[in-house]
Amino acid sequence: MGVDQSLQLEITLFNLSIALYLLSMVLYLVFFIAKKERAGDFGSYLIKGGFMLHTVALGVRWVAAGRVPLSNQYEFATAFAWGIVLCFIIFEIKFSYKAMGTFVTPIAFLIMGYAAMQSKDIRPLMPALQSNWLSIHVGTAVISYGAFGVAAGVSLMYLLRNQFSNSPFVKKHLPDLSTLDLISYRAIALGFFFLTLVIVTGAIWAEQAWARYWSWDPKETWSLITWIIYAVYLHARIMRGWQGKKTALFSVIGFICVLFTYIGVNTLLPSIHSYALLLPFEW
Amino acid sequence: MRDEKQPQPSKMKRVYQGIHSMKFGMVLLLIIGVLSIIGTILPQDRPLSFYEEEYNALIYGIIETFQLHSVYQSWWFIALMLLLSVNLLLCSIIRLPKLLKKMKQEPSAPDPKEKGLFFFDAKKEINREAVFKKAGFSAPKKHSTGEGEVYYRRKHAVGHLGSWFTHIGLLVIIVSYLVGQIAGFETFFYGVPGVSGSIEDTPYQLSIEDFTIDYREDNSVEQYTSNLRVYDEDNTMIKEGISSVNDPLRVEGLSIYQNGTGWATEMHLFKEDEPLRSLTLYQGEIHVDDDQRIAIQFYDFYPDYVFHQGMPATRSPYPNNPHLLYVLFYEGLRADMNVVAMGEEVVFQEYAFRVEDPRQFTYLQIVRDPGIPGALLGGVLLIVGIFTAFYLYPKTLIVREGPKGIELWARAPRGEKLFHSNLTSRLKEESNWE
Ligand code: HEM
Repeated sequence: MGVDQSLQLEITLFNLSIALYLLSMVLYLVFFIAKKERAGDFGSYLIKGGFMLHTVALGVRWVAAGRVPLSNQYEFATAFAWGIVLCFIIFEIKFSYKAMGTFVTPIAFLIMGYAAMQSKDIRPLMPALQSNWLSIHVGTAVISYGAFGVAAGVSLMYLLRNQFSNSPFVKKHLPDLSTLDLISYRAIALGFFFLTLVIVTGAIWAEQAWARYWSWDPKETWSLITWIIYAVYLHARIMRGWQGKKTALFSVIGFICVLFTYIGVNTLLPSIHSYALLLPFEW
Repeated sequence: MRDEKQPQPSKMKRVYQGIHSMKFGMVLLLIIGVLSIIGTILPQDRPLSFYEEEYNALIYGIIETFQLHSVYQSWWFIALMLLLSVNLLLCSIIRLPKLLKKMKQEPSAPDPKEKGLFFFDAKKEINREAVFKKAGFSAPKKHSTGEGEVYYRRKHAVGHLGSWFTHIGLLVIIVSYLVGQIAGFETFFYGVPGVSGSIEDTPYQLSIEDFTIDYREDNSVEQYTSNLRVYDEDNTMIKEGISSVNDPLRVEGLSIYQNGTGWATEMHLFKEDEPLRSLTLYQGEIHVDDDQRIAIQFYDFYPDYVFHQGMPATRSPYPNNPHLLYVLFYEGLRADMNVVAMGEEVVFQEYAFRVEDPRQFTYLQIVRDPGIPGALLGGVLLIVGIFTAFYLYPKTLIVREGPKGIELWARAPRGEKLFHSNLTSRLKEESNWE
């Protein structure tokens, strides 16, 4: 199979998985609003189906490109959504709360939509990006950001449950506060461990490629800010006066930082991570 | 209302407690996070004149006073990092004995107020070993109390130290980073193959043996490679090797990075038809000669020159039709600017020059950072610590066989809920544990 055919196949699989994610999102919504258990079950099947197609799509692209498909906006966006869905499936199995789907699938779907708008060309890598550390660095970012996506959804549920604690509807559909706190804590623990790996492997790679393990480049700085927000989240949980709503807010702010680090920094701020104004001469 | 009988801690003591408190640490972290945003919005490390032109007087004043043109090296940013280090250090020192005690402590017998996991009929027999095994514990230890036999086992005691290692890791990173800032250095070296010279601020000599660029079919660059030799002060070669992107040459604590490239040509300068100077002129350089009467700047280079839409351009990166764009200054004034082919002579007043033999030169960045091993160690501690804190929860399983029946307690102070639900599902299959 040629590269063009592979790309065609990848795009088809990608579109199918977006469609399945969309359907699953709708079903989870129906489940939540109309309290139809069956809809929730179907949503759960469909997202797993979409995830399988999505995984195959990434695999096809991996083979076609001859390298890990994690080196441009499109590739990272689709992998990011994949990471969220993966973490969601794990957490749904582990904690079995269907309502999570109602809050997490829209996040995954939006990021898939962002991926769909990016150029899908396969370009050869510039020399600085030809490193195994790149694969580890971005691969760990996929899991980390995925887990934070799940945590953000669950923390939104927490805030909702907390705000409308007297509403019978909310009481009936959302798990209690301590369960929501536990789920988002476990998701953030996973994300935080992986984010630390992202930063450390990124530093090791930067030392080899850019001569400095830490140069306060905007992307680095924003990932540090994200890391700090989640560190504060972890401590807020065990600190008097910061527990509860404040803690959940840090989780949501943390995910906004994740999105800004990933999308905002590249488009709004100058950075070596945009690979544009890299070196003194034209590379 | 203040309780008069309760003695208030002295002011000093309160300050001290404040300094090592978690709250103060978190506030510091948040301040560092928020203020570091400035450096991602405001361009950094430009000359002050840049800011003076770009911003109004008020903003410029703020930038200058608070060193916002170099946020991460500013006194207040470093002061914040040092404060955070002190906070972490004190908190870590104070916590360690408590944590070690917790690690070693044998579990106390269950307290009647504490809720057990399961409560069983005294008549029922249980396979104690199997229960501990199923729950993921080794064979239980035993001690007797007035209320019967207590069997227990602990697991992941090291989990108590997870956050401690995390904090020490962060501390080691901050200190190593500051060491690198103070004791590290950086310099640059460039040249075409054959060039050698001393590395600034070091006793070493560097010689560029060769420089190659590998292109792909689509003319994009696959790799840049410099072949280098390093000599010590006695002119003995201490290292020969290559430096390419992502793979620096390491020698004696120095790392030599393949950082950039550009074009260079041989230039021959004549005055009244007599040779005045021959030298290698590098892209971007300006050569001033003859008491500053004449200067020639290597402005740009087109290896495969075409004149396209009124502009000089290149068709490919290969030197099929090399041309140079020069700027000529005569008696301090810009006098001429043009594109010239290799070997072609340019005449201006009493001067003439010719360029030939275009080659690409290598641009190397040379760095020494004595903080790297420490930063790496800190990074490892951080990762191991976080993993330990999150995935190696200290757990205790206790079975008491007493007159009331057989009771099972499970303790995991940092993750009780998860541990209980996990155990419940694992032990459900034990048929005699209904
Ligand atoms: C970016 C900096 C920091 C990181 C990454 C960090 C990381 C961690 C982690 C991962 C835990 C375990 C949390 C859990 O199991 O949920 C923890 C606990 C803790 N941290 Fe930090 N920490 C940081 C800064 C600080 C600071 C500045 C203090 C101030 C003294 C502090 C004090 C504590 C304490 C006392 C605990 C123990 C809480 C407990 O086990 O009950 N940390 N930290």
